[in-house]
Amino acid sequence: MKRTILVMMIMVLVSVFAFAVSLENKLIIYTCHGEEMPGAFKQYFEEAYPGVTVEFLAMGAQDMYDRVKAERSNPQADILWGGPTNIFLLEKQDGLLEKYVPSFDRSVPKEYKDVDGFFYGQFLTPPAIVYNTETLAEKDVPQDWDDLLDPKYKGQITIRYPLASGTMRTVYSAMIWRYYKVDGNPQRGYEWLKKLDANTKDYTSHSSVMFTNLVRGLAKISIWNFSDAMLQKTLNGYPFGVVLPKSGTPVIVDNIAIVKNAKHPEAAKAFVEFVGTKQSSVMMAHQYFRIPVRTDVDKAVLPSWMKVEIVPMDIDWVAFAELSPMWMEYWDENIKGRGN
Amino acid sequence: MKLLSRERFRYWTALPLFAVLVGYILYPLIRVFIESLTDRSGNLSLANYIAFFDPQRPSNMEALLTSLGLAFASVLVAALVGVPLAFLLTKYRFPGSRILSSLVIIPMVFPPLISVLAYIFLYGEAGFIPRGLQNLFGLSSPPFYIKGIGGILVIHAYTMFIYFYMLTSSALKKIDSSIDEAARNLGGKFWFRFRKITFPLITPGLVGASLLVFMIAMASFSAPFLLGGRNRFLSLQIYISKLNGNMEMAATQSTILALICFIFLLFIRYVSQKRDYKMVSKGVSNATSDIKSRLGKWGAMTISILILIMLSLPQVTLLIISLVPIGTWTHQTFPPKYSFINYIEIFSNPRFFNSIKNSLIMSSIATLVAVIIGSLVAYFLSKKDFKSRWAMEILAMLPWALPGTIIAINLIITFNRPTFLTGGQILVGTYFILPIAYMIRNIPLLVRSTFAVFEQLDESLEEAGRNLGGNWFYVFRRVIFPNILPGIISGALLTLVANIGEFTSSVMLYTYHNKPMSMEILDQMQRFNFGAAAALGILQVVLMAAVMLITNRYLGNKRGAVVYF
Repeated sequence: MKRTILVMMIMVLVSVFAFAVSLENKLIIYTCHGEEMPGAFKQYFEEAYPGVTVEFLAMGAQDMYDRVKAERSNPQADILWGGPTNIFLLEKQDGLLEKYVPSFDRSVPKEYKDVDGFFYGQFLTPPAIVYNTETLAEKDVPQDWDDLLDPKYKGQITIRYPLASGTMRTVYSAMIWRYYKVDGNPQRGYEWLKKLDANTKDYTSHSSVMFTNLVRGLAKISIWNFSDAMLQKTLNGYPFGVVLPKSGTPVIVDNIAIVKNAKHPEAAKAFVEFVGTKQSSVMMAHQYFRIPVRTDVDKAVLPSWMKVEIVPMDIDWVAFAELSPMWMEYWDENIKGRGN
Repeated sequence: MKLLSRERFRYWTALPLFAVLVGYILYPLIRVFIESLTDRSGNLSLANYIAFFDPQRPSNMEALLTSLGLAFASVLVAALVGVPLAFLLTKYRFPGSRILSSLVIIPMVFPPLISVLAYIFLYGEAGFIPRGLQNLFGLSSPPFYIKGIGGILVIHAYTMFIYFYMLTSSALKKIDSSIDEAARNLGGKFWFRFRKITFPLITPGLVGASLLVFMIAMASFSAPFLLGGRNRFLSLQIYISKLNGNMEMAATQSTILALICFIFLLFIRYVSQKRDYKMVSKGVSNATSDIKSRLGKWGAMTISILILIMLSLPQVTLLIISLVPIGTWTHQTFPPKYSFINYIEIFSNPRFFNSIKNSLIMSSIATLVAVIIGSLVAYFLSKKDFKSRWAMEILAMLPWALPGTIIAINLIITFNRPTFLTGGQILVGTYFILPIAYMIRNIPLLVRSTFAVFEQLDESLEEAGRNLGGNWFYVFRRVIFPNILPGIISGALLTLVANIGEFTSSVMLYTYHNKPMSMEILDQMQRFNFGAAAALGILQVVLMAAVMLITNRYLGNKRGAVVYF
């Protein structure tokens, strides 16, 4: 009932837009928001715009970048939905994105959007420490990043293979960044990751395997984004606990952008508007644990857990985007599997 | 005046055939090679190769060595399982031996991705058997489980022993037992006879199987992808380099892996032509002997029952998992709930059904085109007077040596821009890139199976037809074609089902338009929907089993063609 009202409200809001231009009959979205939220918004959007069929393909943010790059001369996707700023900056540099300034431009603080309007932040997604509450005793729960290096966790940490995942790339690069910004070189960051590698049981090729490891008790601890962990916990009743490190976490701004030379540009614009409304933001906050970047959403209508203070790590995202690929390549060659 | 002379037919068929083979097989390889010689700023250099072998950056060398080691070890384990089994089943007859010898091909009806998943559910750390034993004996941790390289080897033993089994048993069957008898009558002891008669005769088969398994293990992707953990493998490095946006390094790794596989292909060719002892005798008498002793009989039966259980457990596991409704199974050793909901779901939910439809359509397109190309190539190869035979053979057999990862990289690098071959279209990101990848992989298999049929075809049939006044085309249509048709159909059916289970190229090339079953299976795994993933897997297994049954039963396929999967 509540959902129907929300959908209707959104429909009214966007109907003005809808009748102004005719939309293409199709919209293709590459997303790294998993299946649940895109699945729901596919349905809402199709209800609001009868005649448009939405298709989405779920993947990791890095995978998404790789795909749009490979498909650049023949773009398949219209929208890139989700993914950290550092990856969107690379996509912008490579000329893969189309500029579009949405109507909610003014509600997005400037640190959460591209200066040239190529992509817009939509949610703040804090990476967090995730653990299995059934297999890990309360007193043993790591409270901060550095706790993960404790030798007592040896063989208990499972990690989504960082090269394929935007979240994990950001976390690993952020761990290096902490030292880089003081020392001017990544050396101590590499040492830190080597110690984490020593405690890591395996790098899973797919986030599914990572979750399976955690749920089925093969490992006790992982690092993953707060929203998805909470969603899995709520949806499937998995015994997950989530810790937001006090020293700060590299809060990922999850962005949205239109693909350059997209085949369905009008539908794409409509979709950006559709998921960017206040109503959509509130709905996503309640149902999918997404923290909106919009400053004009009334705090009172947002879920109560959002009042927990999240300490963002201090990061220069532009420099970060430039350095991160090099660091990750170094990690893959020289650190992965070599800690002991 | 003949309507279509043989020479003209050959000329006008061979030319476009060469164009297709060069365009889709050789040219992409060359393009990738050029890419590997290009540095990041686009200049010609050896930088990528220097980086590959750089001792300061050991990851690539490590991957190469791990892959080589894995391939050697796979040959060993596959031989250890396959050869004794071949001896047991071809040389001896005991209660149940016939059933066992027809069911020994069970692992063949298992697409690679599915078999790895089934093994993880069965023998993985939280698998049925390790967890079950742990619960049964009240242990604090599972007594054993598969992981890392050891785990991959177990899976390779399961999926690859069949090559040793088949090549050894077909060699054993060809041995005329009268030679063995003669030697025995002359006073030859068992070992002497084994060394001097049996072993030389099965050697070509053993060498062939070793090379084959080595090549397949080198290219193996699914098992390292899901079980590799902290190790590096060459086939996986290619995928990772591409993911990391380092296309030049992916090309370099591809070139090196392709080179290794190509060398092995040449070896296989060499071995299969040399050292092939021909048995000169009229008809081969039956070499099988009954096991007489009671103990031997029971022993052989027990062993075969154990083998059958080992062979079919992964399929049984998959069947059990396919009955698990989503979200009902978490930390329990065995799933607490069972229902048929997943089977209803995969046929009613458009999402699953689309993936089934995509797989079927793409596989059919690929097979159809590959059948046409493959049979034409096979025809030319069977003609001893066709001058460019060697070139055509190498071109057509090349994809056989190429891992799916490389075929994908080849296509991405080559068809990322408009080309003449594609009618000025860009293939990357379109529906057709995947059927084309399948088709390229199918060509060698169809060439082999059709060539085998041509070889069996008596040349005198064609001569007789011609002598009776039929022109060349008429003879082809009325005499040759009906004779080769069953062989072609069985080859086509087998490639068709192999395509349905394809994973390696699919994971690198699929788009939302053509998402195949394998990718949907992986996606469902990600959503913890193990049940639907397994149900899709079972569907693949059933399709493959049906095709095997049909080809064995009605088309007289002697499993020969199957070997080359």
